Amino acid sequence: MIRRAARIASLVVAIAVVSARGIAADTRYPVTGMVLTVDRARHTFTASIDAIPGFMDAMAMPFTVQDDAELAALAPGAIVEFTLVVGTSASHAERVHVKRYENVEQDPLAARRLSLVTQIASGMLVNPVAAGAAVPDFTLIDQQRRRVTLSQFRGKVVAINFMYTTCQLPDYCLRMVNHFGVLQKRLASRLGRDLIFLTITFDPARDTPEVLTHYAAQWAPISASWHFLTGPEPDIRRVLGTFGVAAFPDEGLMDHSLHTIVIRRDGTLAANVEGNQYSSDQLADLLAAVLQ
Amino acid sequence: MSATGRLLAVAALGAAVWLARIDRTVVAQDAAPAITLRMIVVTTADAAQRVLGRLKAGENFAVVARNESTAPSAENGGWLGKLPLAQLRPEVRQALDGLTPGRFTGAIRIPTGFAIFKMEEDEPAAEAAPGVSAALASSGAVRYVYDVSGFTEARAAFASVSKPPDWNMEPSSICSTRNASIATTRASIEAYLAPANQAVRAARPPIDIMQLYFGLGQLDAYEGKMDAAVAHFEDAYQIAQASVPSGVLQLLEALGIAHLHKSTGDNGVYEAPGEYCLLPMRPGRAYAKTEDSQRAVEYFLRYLQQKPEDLEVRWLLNLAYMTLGQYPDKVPAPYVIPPSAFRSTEDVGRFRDVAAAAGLRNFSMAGGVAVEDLRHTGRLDIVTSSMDSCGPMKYFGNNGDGTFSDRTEAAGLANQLGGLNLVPGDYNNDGCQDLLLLRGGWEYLPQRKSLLRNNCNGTFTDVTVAAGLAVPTTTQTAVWTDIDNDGWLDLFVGNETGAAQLFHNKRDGTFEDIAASAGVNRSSFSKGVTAGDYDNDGYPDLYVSNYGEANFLYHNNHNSTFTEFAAVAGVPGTPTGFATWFFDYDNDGWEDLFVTSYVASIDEMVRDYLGKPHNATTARLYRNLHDGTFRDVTAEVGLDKVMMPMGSNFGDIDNDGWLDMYLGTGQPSYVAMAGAVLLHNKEGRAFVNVTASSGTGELHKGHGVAFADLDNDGDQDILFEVGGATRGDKHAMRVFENPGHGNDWIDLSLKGVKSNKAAVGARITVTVEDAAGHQRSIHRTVGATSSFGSAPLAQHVGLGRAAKNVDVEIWWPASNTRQQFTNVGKNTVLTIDELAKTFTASTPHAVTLGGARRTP
Repeated sequence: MIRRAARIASLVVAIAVVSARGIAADTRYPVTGMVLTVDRARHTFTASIDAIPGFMDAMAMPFTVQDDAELAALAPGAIVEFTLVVGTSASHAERVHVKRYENVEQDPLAARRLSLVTQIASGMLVNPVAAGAAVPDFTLIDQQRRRVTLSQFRGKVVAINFMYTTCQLPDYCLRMVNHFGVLQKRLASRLGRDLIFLTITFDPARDTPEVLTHYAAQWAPISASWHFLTGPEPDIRRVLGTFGVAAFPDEGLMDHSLHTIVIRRDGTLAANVEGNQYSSDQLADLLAAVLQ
Repeated sequence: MSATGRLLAVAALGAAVWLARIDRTVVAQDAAPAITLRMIVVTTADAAQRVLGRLKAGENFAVVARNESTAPSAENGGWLGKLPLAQLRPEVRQALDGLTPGRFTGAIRIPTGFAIFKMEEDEPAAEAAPGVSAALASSGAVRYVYDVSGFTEARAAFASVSKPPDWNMEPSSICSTRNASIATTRASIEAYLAPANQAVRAARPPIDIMQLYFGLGQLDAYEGKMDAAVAHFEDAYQIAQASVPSGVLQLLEALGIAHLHKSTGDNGVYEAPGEYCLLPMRPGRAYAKTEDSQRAVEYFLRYLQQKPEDLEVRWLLNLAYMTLGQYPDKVPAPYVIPPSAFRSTEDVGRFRDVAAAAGLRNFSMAGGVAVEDLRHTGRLDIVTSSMDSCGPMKYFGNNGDGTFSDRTEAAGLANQLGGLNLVPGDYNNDGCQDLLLLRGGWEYLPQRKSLLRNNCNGTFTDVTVAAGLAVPTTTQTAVWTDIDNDGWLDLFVGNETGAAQLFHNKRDGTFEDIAASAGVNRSSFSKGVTAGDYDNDGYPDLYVSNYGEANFLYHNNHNSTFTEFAAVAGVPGTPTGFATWFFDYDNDGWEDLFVTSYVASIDEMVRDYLGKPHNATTARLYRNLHDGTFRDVTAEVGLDKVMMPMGSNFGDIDNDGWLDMYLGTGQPSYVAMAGAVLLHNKEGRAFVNVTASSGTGELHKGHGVAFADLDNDGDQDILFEVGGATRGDKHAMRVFENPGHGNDWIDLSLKGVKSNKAAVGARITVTVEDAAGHQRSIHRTVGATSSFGSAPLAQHVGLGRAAKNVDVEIWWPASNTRQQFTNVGKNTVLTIDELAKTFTASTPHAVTLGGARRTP
């Protein structure tokens, strides 16, 4: 967490610099980032923001709001756009807007459409588990054929992403899984001790433990702390349903939506991040926030 | 290239899964340029600039890589080893262009971040780090065709509705279940979108409502109701404009393609294609009704104003202008795909579609085709199947006068519904080809096969259950071959989900699945299986073409077991395998292997047409090296082209004795109009594209292909089952009549005695002299054909011009005997029985396809 501390420190310096220059009028910057925590009592949220050109690097930092209504729609993992107002002695965020994930690339779009169509056809729109609610337990099999049960990691933070090994589009499965590959190094001191990665296939028919072993080798995963999971089709379907992940076979490939899940130490859902428009730094910051 | 380089070439194809399958002992033959590299990957552009600053300041690349790189190669100081350039993403290739050893590149955007490469001196002993190249692979960043057809929606509906027990055991219940699934799904969505449901709808985000209108339009498109599809796409478009601006562009394309599909349908072109939809369409052949084509042009132009670089929509725009008779003149200059892109460099004569004239009116979805003398009339009948769960097989009986009659009812096949492919084979050794109908391909829902016993009188009996073949699977591929040379044909079935099946023929009309004990029960998403004796040891071997995984080559151990040798033999195939076959393309007496690559990307195909570098994995041709291994000769024979092949097959279009090929193309989307391709074999040295000059470039979805001499005039015509994967994408079958080339030929009809009656696996060598006295040999195998297509058992052998001194040698598998006949004559049909000392010769009666009905 040295890096995180350093990043927050640099923010303080940045604002101090702005203040020292004695700029009289407020300066406004458009900002995008991922929400890490929301503290309504203190009228703040923390976010891992993208770089603000000419002002500051990408970093995690707290933002104060003047109107608590700004916090209403925020939850960890949400991608937000807002205006950062920097005054001479203080700053605050306003016009905080949750950027709904609307990836219109054909693959996720088709998956979400198929999910809607089939849910309506079967008479029910299923709601995935909500933030703060307990995540239903599940048991799957990992790349070494070990049974892995979610509840066995109680007391640790669990991050989950989804993929299938024959995925052809590098911006999807490969990119998602690679985030864990990057974080495996960055969070080496936490991984296994109080952080677990699970990567779950939505193509269990093809992705046997042996296939997953070869796929996982790309990132040399530490097997005790990063499990690549498969299992019987109905079990996989149930897990996908729990988190609102849509996946449908299409001519040998799969149309699927993109989700990254973070579960708290107490087994409740911290965040369900949809899409691929975030960086591994932002995911690291989100995990760090949940680990605290 | 080193063995290591070969390893990486395969690894770079995409899935790391492959690495494990590729044996490190493979001898590399490929001489493609390669480069030895180290790499640093960081996640942000800023970090990349910082790293570049340190490198420019003289820091050691390997040390920086170890400390900063997020790629797995960091552990090894960023070492990648020697990588074949062709397998890298184009932006990486471009950055490496001109780089010299010791120098490094700037930062390059790749899917996992920003990469910096350093070129190293070649080190022959260098070992590559496994799995390093997935993010660099050229095959990864492909724009797949945009799915506008409702194929996936209809299938998801089929998969998700509740079904009656044993729904998949009878063709009629498969049909009714599918119909019900579409009706139920449509009704549910309509109810959800109904005004009465406004309160519930209002709670959903606009993108979901947009999606539901689009979904309804997709179901309309599936059923071919293009007016309704256009209306629902317009509803979705309105919502996008108001609330989902990022979705507008895709809907412009969807509306354009819906109008183009509607235009083609409304003009009757799918049912009566004639000279229409032959790529490139001849100038001046405008559709009669032009309104929808004009709307399509408008939508595509609006799309291209926002995204002018989009090659898929450029392609569609050019096609839309063709239907208006305005290609290429009216196509705006920045978007035109020049006619030169389609030009054939060689003329093999123009084929002519005579299907309608000959009474071969088959208007159906994707399916298989079989051509055989099924009634012992001495003439070829034709059978087709359709993947439409409610679409029957069709039996066209040859009237002997160049016309055919629909005998489906009389043959007892009208209740055989569905089946993406069908495979003929004489399983009971009665001398009459039986039919195996395969269901479930691309459906993900196991369905029953049908084994249809030919009663030798043009009627068929469904014996599936009695034969022990009724277990439902998801399949479109199977091959009949006598694995143990006991004189009875066994059956190998590739499945898309679940293990392959090897049914051993028990000689009593029943089969036993011995796949597990034979060692051929691997599960993969298998799209093609074929059989051939690649090492000339007298026993048939098996090859499996898989989508998403490396292929399997099963060597026959002569004891009803097999050993998988694909990696050792150098025939891993492509990550997107589809149809496959053994054939001797270079006439050296050893079976070569062809395997298609189903990369469904108009974008990649157009790059190829325009001479730009492409990212797609192409088909593979493997030349037999006579030592149990093969060499990839794809590039040297000119087959490294993006063609989107589906059903395809081989034959000899000009009787020169060299096997040519015809590839049907496409994908379910109505966008996926790629154009079939005819490739002429230039004496085993090259395959030349003769599509345009031959008039065989059917634009629409190509499935079962068969080469057969339907009119007994001594040359092979091309039967082409055309049609897509949805009910709204049916198409008329094509029968391209061969214009003739004046070359000689001989037909060989073999009958097994100890070997299986159909003589499957018998090897034929025809030796012939040309006018100058130059002697050569031509090799054929009875029963050899494509996994997605078929051929008559009688072998048609082109002999070239002014052939003389024609000798025939036949090797029989079960008896392991050879027959030799000298000076057998030419332009005649020889009938030869196994073990016989003599043969009979006959001259078939040539007819005109279409007979009296033929218009000049």
